[in-house]
Parts: sequence; structure tokens; C-alpha cells
Amino acid sequence: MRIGIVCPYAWDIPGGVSAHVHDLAIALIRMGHEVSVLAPAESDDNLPNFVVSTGKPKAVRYNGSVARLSFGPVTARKVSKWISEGAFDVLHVHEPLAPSLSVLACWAAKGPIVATWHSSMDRSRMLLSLNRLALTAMEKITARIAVSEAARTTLVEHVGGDAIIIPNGVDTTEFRDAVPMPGWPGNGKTIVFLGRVDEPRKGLTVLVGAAPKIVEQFPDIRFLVAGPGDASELLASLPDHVSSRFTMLGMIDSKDKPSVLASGNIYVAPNTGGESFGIVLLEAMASGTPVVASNLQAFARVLDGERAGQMFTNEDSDSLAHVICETLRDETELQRLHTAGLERAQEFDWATVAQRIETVYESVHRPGVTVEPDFAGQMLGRIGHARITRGLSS
Amino acid sequence: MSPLSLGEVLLLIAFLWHLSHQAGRLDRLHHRIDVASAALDGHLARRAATVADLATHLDPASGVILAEAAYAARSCDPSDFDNRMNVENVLTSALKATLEDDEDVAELRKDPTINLLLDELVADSRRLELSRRFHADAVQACLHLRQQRLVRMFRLAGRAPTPRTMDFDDQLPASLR
Repeated sequence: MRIGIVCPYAWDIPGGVSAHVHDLAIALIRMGHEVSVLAPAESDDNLPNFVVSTGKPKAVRYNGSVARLSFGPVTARKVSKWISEGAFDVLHVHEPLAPSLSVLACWAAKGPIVATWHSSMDRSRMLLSLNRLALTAMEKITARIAVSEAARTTLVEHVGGDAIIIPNGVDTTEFRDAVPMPGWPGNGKTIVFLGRVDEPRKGLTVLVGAAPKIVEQFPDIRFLVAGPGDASELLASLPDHVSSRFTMLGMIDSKDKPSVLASGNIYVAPNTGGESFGIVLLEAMASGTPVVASNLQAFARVLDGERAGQMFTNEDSDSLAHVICETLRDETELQRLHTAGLERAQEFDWATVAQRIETVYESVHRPGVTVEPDFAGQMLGRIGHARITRGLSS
Repeated sequence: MSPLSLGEVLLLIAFLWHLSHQAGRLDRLHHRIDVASAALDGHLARRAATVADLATHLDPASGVILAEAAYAARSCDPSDFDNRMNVENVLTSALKATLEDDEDVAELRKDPTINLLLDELVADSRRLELSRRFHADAVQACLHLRQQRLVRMFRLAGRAPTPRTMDFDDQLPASLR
């Protein structure tokens, strides 16, 4: 299929949406599709050949923060040109509520259009004007995808209609072949922790609190801690025979992350909150390490209840110590978690996620029908918009 | 208690006359601020209305950004001073973001309606800029007077609130200057 993907945010500035579009495009190309991505870019250097740039985005204060977006008549013309030259079988716009390329693309095109909603917005931020303008452009969208339950709720409540949920993919390729660091996990057992050590929400304190009880039952256990920050005070609170079991790696390079995760018998995620997804859990599972995590909702989703990992009561060190000891003692459970984790990580892998998105494309694609420029749509959009702003003025 | 000498009486009269003169000046300045402030409010409202109108004629992305900013400016509670300055700044920066590009503006000016609206926006903004400066002048003069020792000592300003200058960016996008 010929697929046109529109990313509203700068291609070369790190961000959730552009990362999603990047990984999706690569996965679709691997599956044999022809893909063209339209996106703003700060610089034309180093753009992959499947990306068409609309030029530098403009910084604008919008929705309470500074966003870098693309708009204006010259940009709109580039979008129309890309659509008419592309002759796409499917047009896939991302974050169509952002006043940038995606809404321009909806405005300028007709045919099979798929849209993905990424973020959730609360009502005060949901734009009055956009709401109605959105409807004009939104009505052209054939299939709607949301990356999370929160994004779906935003869509359902404020725009109406429904969307299917297809989560963000995680690229676990480099984790699948991870090799433990030399000397790890060793003959005794090893527990791995990853994350800022002095950030309370990452929960190292909970693990440190559980350590004495774990050491009591597994005297030769080791704790491998990787992440920036200073934890010397925290460790000083432990008796020497417990704190000596800790190895602090400090900040690690992202290329070393797979081998650090693979160096443990258990990866522990004692995060106390503020997690929306838990990518690192999937990375640990992909590297074959069983996961023990706090029972946050986000983690429960990733672990599929407790099917793909063990959970303990959030912020409860005793519960953590209990779960870790029980799991370490049970070789069959460790083996089961290893296998279930690998499977679960595969479900979230981009290859799997892209296949699900491909199925959506197939459901809207009609042979012989391509996405065409829509000049009538532009007029309609304009009239629709005029109605809105008149509404504002009165 | 000895009776006041003629010189002392004259001095007292001069002093009282001075005080009443200062009070009169202060009153006139407060009044001038009220007038300037009302004019400024009017020009802000006109600018927002023109932007809302302009927004309907642009591409939907630019349109949404401008319509949002205009809406925020018009629906803002005028007594919430800081928020008000903030929304006017946002409106100015939205104009700069959407109309900063010479190429874009040249393209837009091909449309006669947009061309007219852009001219109106320029006129609105120039009037706004002037009225903001006149308002700031009056506020500065008033603050200067209110800082004088006698004015403070005799509380000549009464319960009138301390006036504030409206410090927001009112500069036009470069392509329209």
C-alpha cells in the first residue's frame, strides 16, 4: 500500500508523537509498504528519505505552553501538493487536534483517512473553537485510533464517536539479544533496579526498606542499581552486611541498558506513582528478566494483571520483600515469568503494533480509491470555521 | 498660647492651598487614567474582534491558533490584571507566529478580504500602541505624585487603588510593521 503519514510536530525534536511516527514508518516499510511522512523539521539535514519536510515549525504559545507547529498559507499549499503527488491509498494523520499539519491535511484531502489520538486533554484545555472546527475536519476521518484509554476518553467525551485502542509500540529488538554483564547475575541471586536513585517516585527507598528481610533469607543476594543521583545517605541507613550487597552503577549509557536488565534474576519496579505506561518493564521482559512491580494501574496493564509479572502492594517494603523471596525460591515460577514476559513484550513490539495498524488501513482501503485533494472540503472547512468564529464574536 | 503672627497665618494658608492643589492634581490624574484605561479597553476589544474575524479566513491551523487567542482575550475577566496582561501577550505572540513570515503575508494579501482585515489589524494595533503609551504616561505621572511625602502623609490619594501600567507586548509582526 502507499501510505501517507502526517506528523504535526517537528521530526528532529524528540517527542512522543514524532517517535511514534518514526517507529511506525520504519515498521511499515519493513512490512513492504511505501511510506511517505510529512512533518516539519528544524533542519533538512539527516532526514530519512521517506520524510518530506514542510520547513521549520514556528514557536507559538498555545494551550498554556510553547508548541512548535506548522501552519499558514505556504505550509497549507505544501500539504496539498504532497497529497496530490502522493496518490496515497491511505492517509494517516496523527494528533489531528493540534493546529498544525494534521488538521491542514484533513482539510485538504478526501478518501480513506485514519487518525491517531495521542494525548489526553482536560475540558478546560479542550478548545471551544477547535471543537467545532474539528468536527468539520474530523467528519472526514474514516477510522480513529487512540494510543491509550485516556486519549480515547478525551476523544469520546469532547469530539464524540469512538476509537479503537492500539497502544504505542516499544522497540525491543536490542533487548531480545541482551547479554548479562560479565560476572552477573553470578551464583547468588541478583535484583536489578533502574531509575533515578534520589527521585522518590522511582521507589528505591521501598527496595532499600525491603533489603534487610531479603538478605536475611538470601545472604548472598546482590542488588544492582543503575541510575543517576546520590543514594549514599539512603544506603547509610542500612546495616553494613546489607548495604554491602548493593552495587551502584550510577548513570548508564542507553546502549548498556539491555545488558544491565539481563544481569538480574528479577527486575524490580517499585515506582510509587507518576507512571503512565512503564516501557522499562517491557524492556526487562524482552531481555528475559522476570518483573516484580508495584501494583500501579499502568503496571498492571503492562503486566496483564499478574500474568506476565509479579506485583506487590505499592510503597509497602514488607510486601515487596515477601514477593521477591517467594518468587526467587520458586524456580518454575521464575521460568514461567521469563516465558510469559517474552511473549508479553512481543505483543507490544512495534512489529506487532504495526500489524494491528495495518489491519486498520486494510479495513478502510478500497482498491482503486486513493486519497485526493479536496478543494470543496477546504471551502467547507472555511465556512464551518467562519461559523465558529462568528459564534465567538457574538 | 500666643496668637499666630500674620506671617504664620499666611504660611498656613499657603500650605493648605498647596495641599488642595496637589489633591486636585491627583484627582485629575486619576480621572485621566480612567479615561485612558477606557480607551485602551476599547482598542484591546477591537483588536481581538479583528483577529477573530481574520481567523475565519485563514487555514484551519492558523485560524484555530488565532481564534483561541482572541477568544481568551475577549472572555478574560478585566479585574484579573495579571491574567489579562498574559492573554494579551499570548494574542500578540499568536499574531507574530501566524503572520511573521513575509511570504505567508504576501500570499494572504492576494485575498482582498484578508488584505482588508490585515490593514484593519495594523490600524487597530497602532491605535492600541498609542493608547497604551498614553495610559502608561498618566499612570507614571500619578505614581510620581503619589510618592511625594506630603501626598502620602495627608493621604491625598484616599482609597483610590494604586494604578498600574498595562505592560504587554503590543508590537506588530515584522511583516506588517
